[in-house]
Amino acid sequence: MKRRTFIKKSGMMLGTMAVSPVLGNIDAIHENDFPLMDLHVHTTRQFTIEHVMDIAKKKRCSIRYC
Amino acid sequence: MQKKRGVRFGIVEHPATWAIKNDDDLKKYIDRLRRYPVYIGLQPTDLGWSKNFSPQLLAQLDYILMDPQRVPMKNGEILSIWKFDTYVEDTNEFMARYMDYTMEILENEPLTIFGWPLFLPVCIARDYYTLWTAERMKQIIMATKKRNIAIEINDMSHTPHEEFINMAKEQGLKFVFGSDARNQIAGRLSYCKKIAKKCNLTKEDFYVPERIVE
Repeated sequence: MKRRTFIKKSGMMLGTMAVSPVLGNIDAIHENDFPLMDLHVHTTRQFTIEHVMDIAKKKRCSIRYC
Repeated sequence: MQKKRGVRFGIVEHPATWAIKNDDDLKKYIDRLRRYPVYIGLQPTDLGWSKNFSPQLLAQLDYILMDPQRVPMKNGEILSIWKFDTYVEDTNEFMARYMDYTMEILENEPLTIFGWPLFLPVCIARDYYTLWTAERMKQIIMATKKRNIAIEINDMSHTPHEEFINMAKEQGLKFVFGSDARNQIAGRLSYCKKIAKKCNLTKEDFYVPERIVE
């Protein structure tokens, strides 16, 4: 592979990788237009409110409705 | 700029002799959850439950979610229909009692969200689409509409189905998602998301508790 072709292809690949999370979120916006709320969760001795908060933290995203 | 926000949660506990028994328990429950960014709800399981609590304290809750899963039968027995070994001897008699009990809840109990709608005991679930006639569904929808009660789309039972959701949507009813989870599946909501998308539900079709939870 020529140096110029290599740089071109690598650049395109890196560019795609860099914007993929953004594209992912755009898809999420268009996929669902409703609030993601789970209003029926029980806590137990094994599954505490802290565990619920951990899930909320992991599922956090940069859009209001996902 | 939009704030970072993901899935939001509402916690429910049962007001019952084995869980939240009185005002003291309820106050502790509310105070404990107030420290977290979650909605605070109750899930009563029996008629008349609210008599054991002061209205002022109940007013501090974000919502009350009630389901008709403890069906009183003719012989005085309470049928806990979520149990896998629930036996229904006479389907027609069961459906009549189930509808009566559902109506009793929807017409007289204090509630914000109708939980586990259209769920059937496992032993008769194969007849779901036959038993949930348009007439029965309409009766539930009109009672719900009359008191402005939201309808839960339940991720555990995969109910209600598309036809019911569309009928309810046509009447302007609001929906919520509920997993009934007690573990890490909380917030996954696979069925809820799938059916909401299929029924073209948008944010306007959803009930959101009034309190701001960030």
